Amino acid sequence: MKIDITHATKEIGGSILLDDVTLTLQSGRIYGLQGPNGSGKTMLLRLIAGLIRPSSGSVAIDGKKLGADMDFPPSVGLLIENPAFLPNNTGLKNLELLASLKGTTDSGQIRRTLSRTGLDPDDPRKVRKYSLGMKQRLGVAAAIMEQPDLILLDEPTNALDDKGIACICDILRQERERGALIVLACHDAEILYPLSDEVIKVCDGRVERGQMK
Amino acid sequence: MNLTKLIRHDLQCGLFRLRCLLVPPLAALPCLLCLRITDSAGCKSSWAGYMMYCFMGIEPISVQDTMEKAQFPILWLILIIGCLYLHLDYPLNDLSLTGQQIIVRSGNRRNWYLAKCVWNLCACGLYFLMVSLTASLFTVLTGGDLSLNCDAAALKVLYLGETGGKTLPPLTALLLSLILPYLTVSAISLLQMTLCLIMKPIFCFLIGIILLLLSVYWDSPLILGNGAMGIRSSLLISGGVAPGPAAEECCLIIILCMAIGSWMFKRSDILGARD
Repeated sequence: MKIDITHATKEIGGSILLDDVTLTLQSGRIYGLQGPNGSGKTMLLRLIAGLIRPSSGSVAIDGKKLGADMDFPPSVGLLIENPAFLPNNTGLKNLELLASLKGTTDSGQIRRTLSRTGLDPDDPRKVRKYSLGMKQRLGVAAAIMEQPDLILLDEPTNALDDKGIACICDILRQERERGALIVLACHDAEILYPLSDEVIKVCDGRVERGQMK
Repeated sequence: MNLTKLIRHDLQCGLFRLRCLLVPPLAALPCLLCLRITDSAGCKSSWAGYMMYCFMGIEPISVQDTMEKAQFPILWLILIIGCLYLHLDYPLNDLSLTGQQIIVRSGNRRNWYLAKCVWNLCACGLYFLMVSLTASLFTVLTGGDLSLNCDAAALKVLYLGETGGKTLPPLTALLLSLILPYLTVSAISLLQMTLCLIMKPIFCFLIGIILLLLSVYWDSPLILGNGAMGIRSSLLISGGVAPGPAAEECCLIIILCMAIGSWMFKRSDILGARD
């Protein structure tokens, strides 16, 4: 998979949220987005996910333009903002419900994904009883369970303890080995730099390519 | 992902919500008033009588009428506004919960929006079903006739003599008490959902209320709310709103809202609650 963002600008209500962004992203790599709060990291993830349309410029995935040739990337898992689930269902039930919509993932795969993220697939608790960290793990599980080609994660280590952070980092490395293209927004440089193949700095909606392994 | 899966998901997650429990008390208000009127007149209302009273509205207010003479149809308004209020926020709430996960998996914005339109029509149907069940409960408890028959005496009492002693065939009663109000409310509800794409839900809700208030004071068939007022039908009063064109108008608005809404949604930004 190759993502080409060409001179993409996003303006909402007179505010420029993304300013002339041009990037090329390739499969099998982890791209880290670093920047202060409100710099445009989440908007850039939304743009790649097809959730927002650029005011000018374009986003193309394998040569096909988002918004013109397709509404969303064909194979994408995402965790943007806070993980949100149906509060009265268990974690497993939530993921089964999501997976049933696409029908490409069986129950065994969902259970394995939950175990990978450190959650018990047989946990009888409803999601409303989950701690923030558990919801975060469930959010990551939802993003990766269908083994998507593109994984977009916004602060996936929020509310996680050290063990949880290490677990998520391991998962992301494994997903990269599988060939997924991962874009990760994280404010913590200690997590972002060792994990990323390339760090993209975002400031006031503008991007600047940074450290590359 | 096909449309039916999205519709099934919306019906599973968005149809039976806790706030549906508000419907029976809302519907009980006009039913209680209907019961009091028929009781004092010494007759019993059938199921159709209760339903027609719920969606009766008021007779057209002419220019000569003073405001003191015309009664404001507060219960009719509450019942219709209740339906609009209950269905105001689900699509937007869904987008800030699992909706984003679902829409990117569906790969198709138009299908997601059309599924929400179908949900809206079904949710309005459920609302009317619950009103019907409440009316059924009143009918059974008061020993009335659980049927579409609406005798002349009850009609005369309930409609304050405006019907000129007519009796109503069952199909006409069904049309005036259920089908036309359902179509009208569904059309306004879908219009509200479409407007939510360009403005805040509270303003869309206010537009719906303004439309209903306009219909109270202006009996033009072009103003949507008139179709949901049984007493203004040409089947009951001369020069009233013809049911055929009123139903066609509602269907046209429903189709237009689905088409325009899905076109707009395809081009709109999906932002989070934080944005």
